[in-house]
Amino acid sequence: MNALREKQNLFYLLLGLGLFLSLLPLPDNLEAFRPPWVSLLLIYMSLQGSRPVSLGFVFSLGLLADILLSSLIGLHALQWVVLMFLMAKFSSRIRFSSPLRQMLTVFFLLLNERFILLWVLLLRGEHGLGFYLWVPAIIGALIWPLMFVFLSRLRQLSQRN
Amino acid sequence: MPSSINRNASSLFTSNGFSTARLMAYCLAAVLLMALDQRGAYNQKIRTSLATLVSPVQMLASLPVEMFEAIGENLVARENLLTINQNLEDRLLRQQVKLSRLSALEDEARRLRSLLGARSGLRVNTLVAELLHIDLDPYSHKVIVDRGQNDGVFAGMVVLDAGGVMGQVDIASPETAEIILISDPDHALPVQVARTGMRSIAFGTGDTSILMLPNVSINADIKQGDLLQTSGMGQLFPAGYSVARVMSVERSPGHPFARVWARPLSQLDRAREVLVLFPEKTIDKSTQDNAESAVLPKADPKAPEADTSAVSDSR
Repeated sequence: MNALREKQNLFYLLLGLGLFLSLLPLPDNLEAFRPPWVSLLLIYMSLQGSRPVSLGFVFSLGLLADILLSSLIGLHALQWVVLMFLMAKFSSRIRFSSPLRQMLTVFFLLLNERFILLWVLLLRGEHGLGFYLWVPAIIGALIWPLMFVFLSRLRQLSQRN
Repeated sequence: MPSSINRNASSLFTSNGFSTARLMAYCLAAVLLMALDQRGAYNQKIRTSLATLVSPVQMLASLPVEMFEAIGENLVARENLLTINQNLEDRLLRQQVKLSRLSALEDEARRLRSLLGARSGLRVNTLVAELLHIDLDPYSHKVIVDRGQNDGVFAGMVVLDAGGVMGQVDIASPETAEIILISDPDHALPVQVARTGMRSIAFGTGDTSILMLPNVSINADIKQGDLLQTSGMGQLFPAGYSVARVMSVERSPGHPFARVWARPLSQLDRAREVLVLFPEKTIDKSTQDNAESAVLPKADPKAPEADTSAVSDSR
């Protein structure tokens, strides 16, 4: 029980950090290359958590992110709810797959997220961002192994304490 | 207690798997929210209050960047400041040089103005000359000015400065002229006490601050503070120019003459611009022909009897 709570606290902390990193202003030319921190964290959580992340929580988190990032309210919520649903379905399958396959899965998950964004953008009558729309998915997939290792170490450390 | 933890934990991790219905519900809610947002259903109030709620977080997030920017600005500003400071210092130096030149010019202007004032009082033809060289020999008080024969200067002309008589032209070269100061031991100047009109001759002593009147009779009416003016005797120095002020009168019973010491009014050792006075006779002609006639040989200190007699005559 205690371990679960600690794990949960750690994840709250990490999610807060992820939101913070998403908020961190970047120079305009680097903005497109910002990794989707929260999405990666959520993927990791549903992959390593003993139980799936609750949809209600992710929905609220998405709304918070929408307010914080002043995006269309509901956009991140929709993205992450779908992401968590997919992870709940497939996490058991990719949990023990090879790092490369994991990367590929993460890439497609993030791509799906970008598709939702594109769909919303097109519905709103905005033009897509072209290639840059897909850059975060590529970046996210590329840093996934690093993030996986880092978060696993962190979890081990926190559990040891 | 454990149950509360359990409930707490269930807020993040759900114990039961998702049904597609739940997903559809959440998706629908999200799309609905987006659509409402898109149509502007949230009025400004809700937006503003939400923004106010999250603004601390946003501020916190922008803090590091702002800090970096501030540091960068600081660095840039420092660099700029250094450059500006350098430039300013350069300019200050230049300006100071200029300023010192200006103040020198100002001094010069003041001196020239006072000279001009002197001239306007004189109403005679004058020429401003500048000192070129000062003879360092303590026993011959001579200076060289930058006006010579080409400017119409000739030997014997009177030289004034703002204070009064300074000396006379001794030797005139084409471009320069040598001036013997009234303090030169070889120089004698016919003077007159302004208060009484008593005439005498002032000799140089070799000290720029002292003139001596050796041949004043012991009972002459002369006292400390009396102003000595040129008497106009000897046809060279025009009458009425201030020369010196009596410093002390020494009357010793054993001597037939009182010894009178006077301090020159002109700045013999400080003047830089001097006024060369054309004798009234030569104002119109200003030729060198009558320069010869106008020349008064330097008075001989050893033979002052001539003027002394004049003094005694006047009484």
